[in-house]
Parts: sequence; structure tokens; C-alpha cells
Amino acid sequence: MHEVAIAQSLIAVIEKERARLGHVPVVGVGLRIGDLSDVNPDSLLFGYQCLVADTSLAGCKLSIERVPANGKCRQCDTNSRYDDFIFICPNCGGSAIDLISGQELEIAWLNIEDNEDTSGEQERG
Amino acid sequence: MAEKVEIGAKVLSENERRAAVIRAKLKEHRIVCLNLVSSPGAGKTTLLEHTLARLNDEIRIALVAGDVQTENDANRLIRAGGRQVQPIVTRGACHLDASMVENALTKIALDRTDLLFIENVGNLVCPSSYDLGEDAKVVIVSVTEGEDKPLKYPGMFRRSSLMIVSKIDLLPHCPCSIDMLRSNALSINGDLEVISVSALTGEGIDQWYGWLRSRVSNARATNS
Repeated sequence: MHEVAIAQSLIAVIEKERARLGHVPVVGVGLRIGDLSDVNPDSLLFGYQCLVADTSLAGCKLSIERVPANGKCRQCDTNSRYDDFIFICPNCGGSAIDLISGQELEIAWLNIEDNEDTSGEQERG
Repeated sequence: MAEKVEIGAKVLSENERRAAVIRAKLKEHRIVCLNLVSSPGAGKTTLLEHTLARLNDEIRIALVAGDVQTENDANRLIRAGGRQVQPIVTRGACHLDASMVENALTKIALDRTDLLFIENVGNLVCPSSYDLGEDAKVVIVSVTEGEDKPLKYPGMFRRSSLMIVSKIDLLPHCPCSIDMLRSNALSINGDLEVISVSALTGEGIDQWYGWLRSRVSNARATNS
């Protein structure tokens, strides 16, 4: 159970990105978690919610997108999805498979609140 | 109005930054660094005790020994002849991270080290997320743990370069097929090297020493 430690790192990165964007209010975070990342999304979500309670990120919703393990066979170049993590190429039976995806643990996007409503007003006007 | 901003930042970017610093520093000193991972009780410390006894006079070995509680492993490694041994007591944390290793390395004389072992906390899940700046992960599985261990912990076996099958002296007493264990491991990671050993009887252990020697001599050759 290392998801609380990962939630702490996640919050640090959100704060850093928020500062980079000019301390804008963040209302949502999109996370990509690979199926082979050894991180459990439910535990991470729980740890995150506990840690952000009563902080400026309390209203910031975490959305998690799972990324399946995809690999490319070194022998026949076939790309396949390996949901069971048995990396045997379904095309040629080769076992030398390079991972293309599945180990991600990254913030894909932030949903930030636009305080300056003037741009919207102008569009409507 | 909310606006979506693309970020693409790694959650463990700070750990990866520190791991990169460690890796660069070790490379500068031509040090081979191995991160030893396994379940609790698979035999990491015992393997290292025997490795020290055999290679201490030919390779300058430093060790960082992680444990949740106690410095028992570090003390065992010192008794086995370890000249540079640093304990890391995580006090509950289930894995080592790069900042812990960075801190431990300040107490190790890198200019007098050829080979650095990081003995991780016994756990086949959490340590897999944390790069410690190692050249390779070595995963140790004892024959009593069952042939399907790699299938149960694919993340760790996928990230490892070498699997040590330990305690093979117990094979007559437990229903474990090394061939099945090996084929399960290779189905997760076709590039995985496999060495079977018994630290107790010494069976197979010369192959491990040979693997270490060739790693160390390659590091000397490529960086000189």
C-alpha cells in the first residue's frame, strides 16, 4: 500500500503546475494510470481525498483513466494489447515484446477555473 | 468557466529527478548498482552475506539495506564482512525511494566502491514504482513461494533484469517446478535472465558471482 505516498507526490505536482499557471484555482485533475504500474486507482483516490480535505484542493476532483498494456513484438512488429500481462505475441508466438504503454503514472490535464469572465462576456456580447 | 490544460507531468517526477542524479553520480564513479527486490524472507540478505564472503576481496562492495523496522539486515551484512553498509529504516513505509538512497549514499565512499547493492524492503508491489537510480533490478524468488509468483506480481517481474531462484536445496521437500517458474517469469518478461541458487549448499551460486563479475568489468570497460 504505497498509494498515500503517491497521492502526496501527486498533490506536490498539482501544486507545482498550479503555481506555474499563475496560482489559478484547480477544479479537476486527469490522471493516467497504466495497468502495469502497480498502483491501485481506488486506493490512490481514497488517499488523495483524505489528503486534500480542508486544503485549497478540497474541491479538486480526480479523474482516473486506465491505460492498458500494449506491446510491440520485436520479431514480427505486431502491436497487441496484453490484458493478462502474458507477453507472448498472438501473431508469431515470440516472447520479446517491447512495452508501448501500461506503466504510466502521470497527470494528463488540469481543469482550471477561469476567473476572468471578461473573455466569455466578450464572446457572448 | 473551467478550462482544460494539458500537462503530461509524471506523478513521481521528483523521485525520478533524484534517481537520475544518483544514476549520474554512480556512473561517474563507474559503480554498478543493483536494486534487490523480493517478498519478505526470500533470502536477499543471505545471498548478500555469501556474496560478501566470496567477492569482498576482489570487488569493492557497498550496501544499502532497507528494512521497515530494525537494523538487523545491515548488522548481518557487517558481520559478513561488509565494509560499507548503510541501513535505511523506513518505519512503516513499504518501499525505498530515491531520496532515502540519496541520503544513505552521502555516507558511502563512492571512490572506493565498484558495486552497490540496494536491498529493498521485502515487497513485490510498492518498490516497483520507485526508481532508485539502479542499473538493474534483481528479483529473488524462493522455491517455497510457488511457481506462479511472477504471474501474481507482473509489474515487478516486468521491470527486473535478473531473477534469482533461491533455496533450491529445498526442492526435494516442496512441489515446485523450476521449469514452470522460469516459463511463467519469461511469459511476463522475455528478456529476464534466470539463475537458480542455494546459498546454503553453494549450488548454482558461481553463476551469480559470474554475472556480477561481468557487470562490474563491463562498467569499468565502457566508462574508462
